[in-house]
Amino acid sequence: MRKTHTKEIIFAISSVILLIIITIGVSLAVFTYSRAGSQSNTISTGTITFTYSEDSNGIELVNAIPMTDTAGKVLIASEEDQGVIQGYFDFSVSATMSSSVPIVYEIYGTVESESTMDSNYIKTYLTNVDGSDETPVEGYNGQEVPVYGSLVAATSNPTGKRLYTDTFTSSTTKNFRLRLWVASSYTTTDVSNKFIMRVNVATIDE
Amino acid sequence: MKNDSSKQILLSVLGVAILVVAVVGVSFAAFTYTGKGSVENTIKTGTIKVVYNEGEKGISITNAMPVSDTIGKTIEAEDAKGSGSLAEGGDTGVFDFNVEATIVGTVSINYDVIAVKQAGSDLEEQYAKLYLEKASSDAFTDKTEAKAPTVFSELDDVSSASTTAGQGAGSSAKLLTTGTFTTTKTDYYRLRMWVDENYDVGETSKTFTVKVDVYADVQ
Repeated sequence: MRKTHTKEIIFAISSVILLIIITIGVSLAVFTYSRAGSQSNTISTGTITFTYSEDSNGIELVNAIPMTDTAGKVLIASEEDQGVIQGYFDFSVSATMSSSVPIVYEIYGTVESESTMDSNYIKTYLTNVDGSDETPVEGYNGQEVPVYGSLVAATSNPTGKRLYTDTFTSSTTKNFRLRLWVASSYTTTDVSNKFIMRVNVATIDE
Repeated sequence: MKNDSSKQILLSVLGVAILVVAVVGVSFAAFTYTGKGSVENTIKTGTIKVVYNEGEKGISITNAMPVSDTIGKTIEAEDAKGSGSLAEGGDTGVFDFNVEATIVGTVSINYDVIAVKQAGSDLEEQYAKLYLEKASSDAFTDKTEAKAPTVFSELDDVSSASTTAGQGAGSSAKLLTTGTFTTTKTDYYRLRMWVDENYDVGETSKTFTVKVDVYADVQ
């Protein structure tokens, strides 16, 4: 009898323990969910190719004498009697874009350290060339052609001077022509001065 | 004479012992009772169901250009307008999905929304920006920011996920947001992606693709 009672007690305790274990186990395993997405979400970037091409011949004026804006605007390739070896500098800026997002760029000049000429006497004249048509760009279509020293500092290079800024909204090529001459207000002395400038192009945020 | 006396004592003691044992044994065996209960004690389980529903279309933007967060947050669903793309048509600017729970009983369910970068993505993670809105209906009239615009590389690691399965989502996965259900309810989400404004567009097009996974378990 005692053995039976003991067995009953042991059985009862074991059952309770088992029930507790089952209860906890069931609680832990009662719910999980996972689902991997099937939709792909994709972005592909656009492309931009920006090119600045220079003509091989830069402006070269030797023994340059002061001249009026009227004369300077029409300097051609070679006018040796006016000391013009090369009267203008041609270059182009191209953009190939896969998107219509506007790209702002600036054309700016940087003066070489060997320059001795006061830039306030260097007339700067920029035109857009389309075939045989040549049109002054904005800032150069006024009555007086600006001197280099009066141009604003370039955004992309504060030591340079902004010649022009424009925006591309599609793939295109723009051709430019730059002329430089000595302002008529310059007083020629017995000292020869020189002015050496490079043209640069950069995209900017504006 | 002495022998007879001892025998009698022994017999007496034995008899008493037997009597005690008999009484105890009888005591143990003398009484049993069984009472059958009439009151039913019932357990009925509650129910839990969670479903992740994806929209018909995922985000698809081609020729995307870098845009600011201000612009990116308003990319339109149709033609992905505002993404800097040419928007020639066919582009989809948003990915809508929802997580719905059906609960009977008292229980709290956690869930994780996880973005998994897909193989073949060659746009650097620091230039792919993700933005998640949450609303109580698919009209998104009461939308809130579930995840502010964040580049993929800076999204929370899945170790911060609220579910065990979410925490094991893998090295290509990032946590977008977590949520909790305590009652039958549906949470609606809208995902946008764009090219971060600091990306330098070059001559080569790059791609970034994610899929969205959902994990849930009981708190």
